Amino acid sequence: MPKRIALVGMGNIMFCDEGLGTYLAKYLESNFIIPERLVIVDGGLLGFSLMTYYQEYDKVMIVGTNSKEGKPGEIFRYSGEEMMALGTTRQTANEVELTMMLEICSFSETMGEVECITMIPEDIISVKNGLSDTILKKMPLLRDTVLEALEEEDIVLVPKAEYQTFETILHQCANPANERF
Amino acid sequence: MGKKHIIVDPITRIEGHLRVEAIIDENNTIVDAYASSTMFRGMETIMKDRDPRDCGLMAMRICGVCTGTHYQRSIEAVEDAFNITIPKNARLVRNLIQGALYVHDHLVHFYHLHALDFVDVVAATKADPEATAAEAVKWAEVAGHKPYISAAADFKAIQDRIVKFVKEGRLGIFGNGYWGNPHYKLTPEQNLIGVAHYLKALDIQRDLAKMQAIFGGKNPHPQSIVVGGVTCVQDIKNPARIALFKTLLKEGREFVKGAYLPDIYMAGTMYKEEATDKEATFKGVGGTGGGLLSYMSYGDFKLDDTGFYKAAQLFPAGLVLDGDISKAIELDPAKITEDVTHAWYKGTGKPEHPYEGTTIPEYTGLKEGEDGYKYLKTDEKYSWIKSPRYDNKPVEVGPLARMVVGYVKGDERIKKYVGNFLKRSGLPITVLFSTVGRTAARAIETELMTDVMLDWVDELAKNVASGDDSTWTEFDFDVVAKECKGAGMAEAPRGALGHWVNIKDGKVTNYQAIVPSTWNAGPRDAKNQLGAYEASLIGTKVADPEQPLEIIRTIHSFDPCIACAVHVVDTKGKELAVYKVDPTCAF
Repeated sequence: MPKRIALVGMGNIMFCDEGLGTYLAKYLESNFIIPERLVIVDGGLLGFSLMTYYQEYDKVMIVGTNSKEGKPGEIFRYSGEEMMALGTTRQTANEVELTMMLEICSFSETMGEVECITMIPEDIISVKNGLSDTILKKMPLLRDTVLEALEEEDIVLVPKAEYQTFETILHQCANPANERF
Repeated sequence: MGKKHIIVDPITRIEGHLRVEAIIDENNTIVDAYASSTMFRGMETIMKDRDPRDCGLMAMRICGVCTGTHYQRSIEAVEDAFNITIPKNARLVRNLIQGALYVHDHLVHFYHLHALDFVDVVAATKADPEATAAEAVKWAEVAGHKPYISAAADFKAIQDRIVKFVKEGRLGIFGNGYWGNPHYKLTPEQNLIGVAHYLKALDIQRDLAKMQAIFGGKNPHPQSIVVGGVTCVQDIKNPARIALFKTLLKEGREFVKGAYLPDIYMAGTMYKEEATDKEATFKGVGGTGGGLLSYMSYGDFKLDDTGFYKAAQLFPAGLVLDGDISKAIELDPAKITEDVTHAWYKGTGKPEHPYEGTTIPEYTGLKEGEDGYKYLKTDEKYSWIKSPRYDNKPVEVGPLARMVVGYVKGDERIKKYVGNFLKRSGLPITVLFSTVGRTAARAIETELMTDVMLDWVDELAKNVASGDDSTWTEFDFDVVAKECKGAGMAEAPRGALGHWVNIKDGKVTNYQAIVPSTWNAGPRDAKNQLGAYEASLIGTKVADPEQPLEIIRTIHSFDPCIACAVHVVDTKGKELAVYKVDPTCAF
């Protein structure tokens, strides 16, 4: 049976580049037809709810930030086990929370495989919606890396007829609006 | 031997990042304590100039746990400003969404973030499964229910899993424990019960999370609450959706009554000595972890449709101060202020009411000790969390505050549930003023919530069946949003949560939020009055300074959620951004 996969975009869109995972999830959902066995999740800060995805899906792909050594925009792919083995120093909220939930669930009988696809951010201090120029330019590369990871799971996403740029996605996320009655 | 300085940074198994520094004397008793959040929150600035009808959608982004609560509080602040009363169906739906969050949050907090402060996992490998089954029956009987797991074979299977994990070195989060610490008091059998319920709770929480999405549209970011009411008309008119909610609720309720409550009775009894040790307290009343003994509830869960701040509430608003349970004080929102004397903000030189509040960062750093470690400058500013005060007094918020305020105010329902716990456990009422009491209050509240939610589901179904499908109150935005201000003051699972908004010409001009963990985790104020966490640690006896189990147990009992109180400062190398998972002990 083909794997059921949850692709979770994590990060806080109030703190500049920290929201890059959330933006990517929204971008994929807006621009591609999502097959039944894949679910795209706007994770935000997510917290405890992550446990449910770990338990209910065969594989969870987490897209977010990391605090590895390197240049802003560098992308890394690693497993949940590698995440837990990172050592005692974890810096972004993403990493701490992800690891804690992984640890809590690691004892569960129904624990899915976890893969992290993360990018080094440039600015997660500024209180603002949107991305730094450096990271915005790297978003297509992050998209391609995620699409490639999905292809490895035999999921080839088909684009929708209408294309929305990353700039459009950022604008939509910065200006969420309720339906007016 | 002189005093020792213990640094626990970060406190793990919480949402967000928190550092505690404690000074212990030669008897290993905590004589002073400082709580510091090493993250900065600046949500308020991002709200300015928004359309107030959309603030909730951004407010929900400040926390990964109470997403839906921030969303609702923000919308209620705007409804208060616009003087809107929502329809009955909307009130009931909001109660059910929030109630589901409470039950899920309390359960996950107890089992997955806090239970291991009481349960020694490794000791569970020594348990006799037959005796464990008998023990489970015993504590369920004390709670007045059937045990959720009662077969020796089930306990044996779980024990085998633990043994296998220990042998393989795959204990995960269990690997960080202080196993064998003398301040673990449960028997091997009781420890096995705790671990068994921990694992079962992983499954139960999945269904509880689904409940939030039934009327919320989706989880983690619900979409169905809007200024004026809710949008999930089709869901409340669909009997299958209501039936699904009820089924999931009943299943969760079984676990609460057959596992969670019995475990609390068990822990309460086994940790009675700590819970009644008034020598180990800040105020000489209650037990270890008692702290301020001043409690505040904004009140929440409206029970009628008489409008904002007029309706009867499941949890009454009010205060109980200094452990005086002979009287409750009515809440006056005008007396709420924030002090930044010891917080890394500029401020205006005087306590600020949230309507006029400012959030201007002023980071002054840590100091380097002779040993090379970085320490908080406790005489100056030392936390990113402000110090909220009620009438210039620090207070504790959360389930314990709600239960104490409700009890003292004579609320019949709360008196019944709290009274039942005290009667069945045989513990005195002062046991509530302790770490154990704080943890027990959360369980008492969870049972109460699962019971009352069943009534609300039926009330909703009945109201819709009677032909009332109204979910939204109409308003003229151009008129009501000209110039106004409002407050969304109610409760989140962790305690009093307020959003305050000022509006002019249809745009937000000022926005402030005071979240529960700000009340509890805040530092000292201008009068040097300790915050709730800080006070709760004074007098605590630490068995082994290298294993600050007691500090973590008490801090966890508040269910810290620092993620929404503050936010991370930097990713690289700066002193505030390095989280040492292993606690450091230095002189």
